[in-house]
Amino acid sequence: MRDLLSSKSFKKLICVLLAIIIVVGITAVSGKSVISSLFSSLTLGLQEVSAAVSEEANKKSYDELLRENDALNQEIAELRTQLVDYYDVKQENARLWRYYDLKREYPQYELVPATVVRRDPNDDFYGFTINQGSSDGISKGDPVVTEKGLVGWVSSVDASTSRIKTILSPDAKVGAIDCVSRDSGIVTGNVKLADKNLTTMTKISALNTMKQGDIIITTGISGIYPPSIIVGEVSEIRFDEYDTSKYAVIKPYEDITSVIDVVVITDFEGKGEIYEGSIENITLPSTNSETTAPPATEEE
Amino acid sequence: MEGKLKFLRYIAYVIEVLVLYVLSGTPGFLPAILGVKPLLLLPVAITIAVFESEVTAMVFGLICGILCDIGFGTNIGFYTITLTILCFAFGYCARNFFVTNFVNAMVIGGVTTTALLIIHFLIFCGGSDMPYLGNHFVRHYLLRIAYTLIFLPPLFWFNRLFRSQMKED
Repeated sequence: MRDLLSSKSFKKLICVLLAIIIVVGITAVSGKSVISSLFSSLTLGLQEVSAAVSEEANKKSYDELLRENDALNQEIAELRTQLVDYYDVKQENARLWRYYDLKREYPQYELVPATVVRRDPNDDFYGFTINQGSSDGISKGDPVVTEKGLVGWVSSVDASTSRIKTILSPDAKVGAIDCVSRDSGIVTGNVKLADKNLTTMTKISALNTMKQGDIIITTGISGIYPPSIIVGEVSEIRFDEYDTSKYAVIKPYEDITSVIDVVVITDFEGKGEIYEGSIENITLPSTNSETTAPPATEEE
Repeated sequence: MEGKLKFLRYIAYVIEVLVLYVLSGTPGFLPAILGVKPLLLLPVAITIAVFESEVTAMVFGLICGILCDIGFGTNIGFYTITLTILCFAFGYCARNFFVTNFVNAMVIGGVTTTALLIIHFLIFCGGSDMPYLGNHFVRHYLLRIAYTLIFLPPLFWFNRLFRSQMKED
């Protein structure tokens, strides 16, 4: 070891290390590395030649590029098809989840999920056609709902499709009740309001205590609509233009003007049976929608 | 004649170092495994060092160290200093303490490469708040160590060939 420490070569090592440390120090202080620049300049030409050779060696021939292009185009087409399938499945999945939620919410109802296949541009009240008909158990007059509430009813039916009229239509006559004030009335469409996805509740008492935000639900006493189906919420109370009666503007929770997936209630307890008791005596089942709904009465 | 052969050998080493430095940075030449490329200059410096005297080994360690630091995109420092010292030590030991053969060279090269890269990781990554440090170490450093060590045997035989062909009697 002593030999090593006293040898010339060890002194050379110390000198070199000192030189390195000085260079490192100068580089750190000045921020410019002369050594790095020197070596980079020395190897730059060689590096460029090497890179050019490598690039040339890795270049693909015209035929190879053509084949690769064909393969990529084919792959793109396949992926595009898969993407379309993916969106279809995704949409179907969302639709089934909504159906499942409704089924869980209303276990006593017979439900048939359906998709809107056509919207008649001439229908001012956003009526539509669904892809389920009498062969699926749907009959005329069946209520049509979504997880957000009542949409309308089946106005005509054939074997594979059904035509739906919405609660935005003046033809609608749905017995309904205010959950909070228990004022009852008839939900019917209004020509002026349909475009705004609004409907009305008429025949309400002059002494009603309804207020904005109250939830309106079906009563179910006529046996046409099941009870406790949410119709919407009170948007405002207005006076009729032609008499002194009042009516409430109702905003459905579902955007009926653009609804795509719906469910038809083909059977429910009390269907076709007219309730003969008092509205006050009706005990409505609770709902677990965004809004909860107490009892209701109905009159069509 | 003796000096001429030695000079030729040094020239050959310099060319070898420069060519390997250039090739290791040439796009598309050496395939990257999971984004990792080998550090060819580490085994080159070590295999030259075990065949040469300590001063020659030190000089080539210095050159390879500088090129390593430049290749890493940093200022000269870590590899320059460590390779200079280590190559000097290997050159000295090879002349005085052990016989230069394949097994010894592989052991020295393997241990040195592994140790240097682990120390590099500890210094440059260990203190940082980089996320997934362990993953980074395994994916980049361990893989780089393994990939670099693959080149140790061929470089040893290559430099041994230089030595035997251009050796002064």
